[in-house]
Amino acid sequence: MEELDIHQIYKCMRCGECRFVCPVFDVERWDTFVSRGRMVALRGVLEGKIKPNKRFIEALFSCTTCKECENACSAGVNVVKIIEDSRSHINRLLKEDVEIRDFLMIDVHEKIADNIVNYGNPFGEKGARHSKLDIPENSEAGDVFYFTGCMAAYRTPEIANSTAKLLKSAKINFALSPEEVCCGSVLLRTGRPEEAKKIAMKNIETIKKSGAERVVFTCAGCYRTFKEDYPKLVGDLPFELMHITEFLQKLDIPIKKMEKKVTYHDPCHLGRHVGIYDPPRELIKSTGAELIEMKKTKENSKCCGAGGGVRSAFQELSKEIGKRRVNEAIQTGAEILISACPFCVYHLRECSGGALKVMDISEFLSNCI
Amino acid sequence: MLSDKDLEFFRSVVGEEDVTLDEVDLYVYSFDTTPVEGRPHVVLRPETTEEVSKILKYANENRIPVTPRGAGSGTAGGCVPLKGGIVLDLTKMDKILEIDIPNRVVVTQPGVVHNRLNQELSKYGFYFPPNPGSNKVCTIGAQVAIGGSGSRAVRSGVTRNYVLGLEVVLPNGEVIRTGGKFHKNTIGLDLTHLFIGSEGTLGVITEIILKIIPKPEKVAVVSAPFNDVEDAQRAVERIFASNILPNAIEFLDRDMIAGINAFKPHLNLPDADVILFFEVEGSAEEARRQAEIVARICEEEGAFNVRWSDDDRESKEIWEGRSAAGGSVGRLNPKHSRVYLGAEDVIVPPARVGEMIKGIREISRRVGIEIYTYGHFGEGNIHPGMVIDQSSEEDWKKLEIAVKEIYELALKLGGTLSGEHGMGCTRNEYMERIHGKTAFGIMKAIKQILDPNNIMNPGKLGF
Repeated sequence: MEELDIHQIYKCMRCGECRFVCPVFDVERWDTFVSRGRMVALRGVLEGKIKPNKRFIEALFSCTTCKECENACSAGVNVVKIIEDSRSHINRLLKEDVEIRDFLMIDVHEKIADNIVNYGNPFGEKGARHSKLDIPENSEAGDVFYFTGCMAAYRTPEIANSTAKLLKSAKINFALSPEEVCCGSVLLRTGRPEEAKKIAMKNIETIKKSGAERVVFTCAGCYRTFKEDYPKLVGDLPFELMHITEFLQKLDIPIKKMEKKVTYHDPCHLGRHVGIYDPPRELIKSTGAELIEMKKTKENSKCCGAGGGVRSAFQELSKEIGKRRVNEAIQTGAEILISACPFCVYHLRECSGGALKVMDISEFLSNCI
Repeated sequence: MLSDKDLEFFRSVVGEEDVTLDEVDLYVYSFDTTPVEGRPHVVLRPETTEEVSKILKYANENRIPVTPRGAGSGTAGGCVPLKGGIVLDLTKMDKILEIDIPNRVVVTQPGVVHNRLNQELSKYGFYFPPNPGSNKVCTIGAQVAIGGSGSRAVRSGVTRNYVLGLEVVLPNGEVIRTGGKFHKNTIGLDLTHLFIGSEGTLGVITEIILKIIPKPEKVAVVSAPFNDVEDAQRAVERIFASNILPNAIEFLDRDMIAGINAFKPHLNLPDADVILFFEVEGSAEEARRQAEIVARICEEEGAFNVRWSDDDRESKEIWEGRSAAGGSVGRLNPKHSRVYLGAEDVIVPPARVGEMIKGIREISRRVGIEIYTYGHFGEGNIHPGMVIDQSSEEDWKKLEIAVKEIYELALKLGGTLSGEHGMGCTRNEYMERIHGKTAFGIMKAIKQILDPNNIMNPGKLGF
């Protein structure tokens, strides 16, 4: 792990402030499964005092990269970057060493990566990108490029359909390209930056071909990846990026008032990672709905448990974290739990077991048109 | 050290999922915040007093060292298992057993996190005042075992002032109870206070009865920058002479101020020799009255840009400057980080705090090491935050020199080496010196009686 910045790891004072906020530690309760423990373990590996083993891999890859610990850390450790860089290095190491590879590699992440490279999506879906959507075959040229992301394209088509309905109601000429592929977020979170770079270049070319000057995203993860990661991978982007909530705030959409009691879950990638908290809330309030905040909200919002490759590799842990967030939502007395990320919505919907209605903000708003 | 029979026994007590022998886990549990390292042979996570008792009885019979651990946020090596053996991770003993408002007590297990306790108590309008800077992390059990405190010690006292009773598992596995829900007693030698500050060397604290008090109606804060620390010292003395007992008197030294401004420029702290932060409390009227007097006296003694407020939001904004100290000392240089090797918690008589601060500055300059100082001005409890390039051997040597010199200065000024963090193992060599041979001999004799096999946290407190 020579390329890891050891001084960043040294910055961890082992004070344990991360224990107070980590959703994984809340469940696991072992010190190895919190940022402090991960920093100690990484340092131990770097200094040759311990060797990576299965426990190390589990600890390193069970971080959802929610960034709550970074906010809490008074020493300013760049936890998310260290975790992603470490994962990248470990993956390289494992590919080079056949003996330990089979024992330690997280197979499902390998499978996901292969699916993205071969089929442009993590699910291995072979059909056309947007074949599950009700959005008619659209011109690939438009003022705005709607990047659906894989979750909305393949698992939550109602979110993409709702988004399209909203854009049309605001008379937005948007492009939708079958050439769109996975944004690469899961590749970056699970330590595969080289593959992510290739994906990034492909997506940028596709968007450029559409002539769009602005890209809107339904998915917080896609948005974060384009905004924060793509510039580091490929340089400055030649178009503006907006999350759908930012975009819709600027538009004149005919909304009919709905008296609903709702609560809102801040996706980590939209909230803590890029600082968007108010647009979704303003949009919700514009419908006349009563927004009841959960106890942990905005910068202190708890992770849904799906991100960072955790949902695929650590299903029980991921579900337990999600259930706790759903319980928090239920305690508000809200009828609907709204979020602004198809992955959060998909996961929280599953974790709710039907106890609470979970919707994406685009679905909620499209019901108000 | 551990046989299959030992491990089988431990699994039978706590269950398979609360035992770990994994090399990576053991490495993680080898540390607190200090560079001191000690690898355990096993980590156990008990949930009940009975489980702790069985483990200690077995460990004692088989001469296996046991190191209790809360959140591992200690700064003196206190929970590092120097002799290996068992680390007893008390994280899962985290129940608040009883909030008894009519008796004004709370009963907790040791793994309850301080901040969470006060969040629960605040629902009843009560709180547990001693507030370590690590209150979001540290556990009540460790706070009691160390005898810690925090910024409110000036008025509200320290942890031991609030401990009414304990349940302790002795090294031989026997369980004793000391004290009770009564708020005072004089019934012989005070065993409750024997265990407070024992840092896990005499047994494992498994239940704590704490006195709690009503939250004040109003808290007001004052920030007062001074161009000379001696002016600040004089201001504090005059404030006490005015019949005002602030809840807290905190400070930031000039290098710390510059550091915070570099890290959080929006705070725009004034360029001063030292900034004092006062907290006063009482009825709304009384808090305001005291804040006004404190502000006036500070101004009369040379403070400039004095701010005060009894508005919650504004008070929080004023206090943010003080809160930004601590861990942030390591943010200022990408290659530097804070290291807790020692001298991070010295305390001197309050009238000598100005001299101590100046002395630390001189050490910093002469030894050539960055030291960012802040702490509890009201009690003379100073936290020099020492920052080095950990990849530099030379920096480590300078750090060791600075630690020793700061200790010597504190002792010379009539102070001692730890106000609230405990002695752990990083200050072992000073134990006999600061207590004297006879007094330290008494401590060792007590240790010998309670723990003749020296299984409990060996290598700590100079034992």
